[in-house]
Amino acid sequence: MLQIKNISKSFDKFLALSNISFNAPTGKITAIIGPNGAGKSTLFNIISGHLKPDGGKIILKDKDITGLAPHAISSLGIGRTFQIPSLFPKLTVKENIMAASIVHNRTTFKFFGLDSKSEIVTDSIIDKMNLSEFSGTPVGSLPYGVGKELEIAIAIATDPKLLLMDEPTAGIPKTEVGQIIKKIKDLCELENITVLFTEHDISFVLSIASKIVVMNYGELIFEGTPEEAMKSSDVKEIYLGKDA
Amino acid sequence: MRFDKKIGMLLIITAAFLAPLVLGSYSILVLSEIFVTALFALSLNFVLGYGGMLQFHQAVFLGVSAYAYALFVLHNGSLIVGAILGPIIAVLFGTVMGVFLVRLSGIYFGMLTLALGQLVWAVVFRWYSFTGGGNGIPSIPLPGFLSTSTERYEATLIIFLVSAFLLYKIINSPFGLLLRATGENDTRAESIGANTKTIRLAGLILSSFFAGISGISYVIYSQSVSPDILYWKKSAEILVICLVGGIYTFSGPIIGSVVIVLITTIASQYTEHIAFILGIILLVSVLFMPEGIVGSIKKRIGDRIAADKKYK
Ligand SMILES: Nc1ncnc2c1ncn2[C@@H]1O[C@H](COP(=O)(O)OP(=O)(O)OP(=O)(O)O)[C@@H](O)[C@H]1O
Ligand SMILES: [Mg+2]
Repeated sequence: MLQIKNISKSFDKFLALSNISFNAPTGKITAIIGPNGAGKSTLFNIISGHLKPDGGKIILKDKDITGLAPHAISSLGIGRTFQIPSLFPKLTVKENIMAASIVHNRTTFKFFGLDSKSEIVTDSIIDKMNLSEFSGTPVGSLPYGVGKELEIAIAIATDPKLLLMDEPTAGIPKTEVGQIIKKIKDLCELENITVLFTEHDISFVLSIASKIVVMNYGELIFEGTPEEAMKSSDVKEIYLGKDA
Repeated sequence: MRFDKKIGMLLIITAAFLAPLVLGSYSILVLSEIFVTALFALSLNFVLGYGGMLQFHQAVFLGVSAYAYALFVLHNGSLIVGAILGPIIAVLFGTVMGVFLVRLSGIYFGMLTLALGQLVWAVVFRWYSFTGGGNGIPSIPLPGFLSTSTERYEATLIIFLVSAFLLYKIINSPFGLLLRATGENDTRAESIGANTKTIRLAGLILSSFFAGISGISYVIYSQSVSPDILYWKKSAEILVICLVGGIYTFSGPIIGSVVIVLITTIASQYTEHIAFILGIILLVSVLFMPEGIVGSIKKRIGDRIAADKKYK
């Protein structure tokens, strides 16, 4: 589905990503893990077009999408969520999702009336994500955790083939993480969405990802299955400390 | 609740249509000014409140439309064609400026609106032979069906009602939702696939169209034009009206127009320092009603409803 080829990125002189290459296989869930500052979000911003890489290529199904504008990348089928919820605070939950649905349905330039098709899609997403309780609430007054779920709902509304999620469970109480993850997994399997996501919590990653990529200080240090990751001494060193 | 609102609005509209039966000609003229101003304010708020764009010089579009009508008619053009030409010229200006404006955001966008707007004003002000320069154009002919003050009053009222209805529809359309989304969070709008530059351009064009309509309404009201109507002060005034009324509600700019036009009309009998009074009003409203009159009232009512729920 997605191939990352020799991607590099520096901020001033600081090398945030150094020659990163891997791919995210179609229909699978791939996880990128790595400590703070590893470059995960930077890589996501490059894939989604919010940042331009200094070198390398991003290939989506044989199509070079490197350096395209974010809206163009989104319309090619890549949806994303943000690590820190980035929503439309004055719009309601329903309007937040519907905006995405309208763009996908190509009715953005409909100046009168409604878009009932988008509304139906929106209602079904609200239903699937269990957000009906908040449907009419302006997003600015939502609890943080609901904002994170809304992030996913909005991304789903763009009907992505590939979904990028930047730490979808960060800031959510530990007791709810399992539940949300299961929801994400079921939804993506149901809609046949390829997933690439980042996460701090290695334990839960092992339970849902079929492929794991480990980054540290802007470098890719491991790529393989969860089982292989468990055995890798490099991964252990970063994740569990040197003495593990 | 919705039902009550509809009946209330119907009553106000009926009263407005019947006003010339009971009010004197001066009051009718002030009401006309309110309708012209309210439409002008709505056209600005479409990009300011909903589109999140710092349009600091909306008066240009009202101005070029009014001048287009005046000049066309003065050169023996048909009155009706002139009235259609006005908004078209406004859209032309809106489109050309918009193409440059949508490349910028935030305060840089605002600076460019001011610069471009003042450029247009300077041309109108200096081009004496064509525009009449600082004198403007007095006594502009109007169609025969607008010969009495009551007819002109009803015309400004109808133009306001129809335009406000259309703007309301557009704001609640799919495009309106995307305009609001883009105004709130451009980055997020882009990542759901929205071409935010095109959306903002469309917003600016629509806004200039309705400002152009308000320009025609202005000519009907005043029967004259002068460079003052596209000077930056006129734009600052309408900005204050939107802010005082509340930019996150549809009716905010309308209420703002009522309040400010009434206050300035009354105050102008006592003082020439209207700008000073506008400044004080803005200061007070920013300090005590940061969301504007309508925004604050809605919030109060909202809080009360929320509180009621709590104790049930
Ligand atoms: N716009 C920027 N300008 C300068 N430095 C940046 C910028 N964005 C990121 N960085 C730096 O690049 C490095 C990688 O940041 P990034 O946000 O990609 O890490 P991350 O893996 O997502 O970390 P976290 O787990 O904390 O989210 C960090 O050291 C960060 O300070
Ligand atoms: Mg990050």
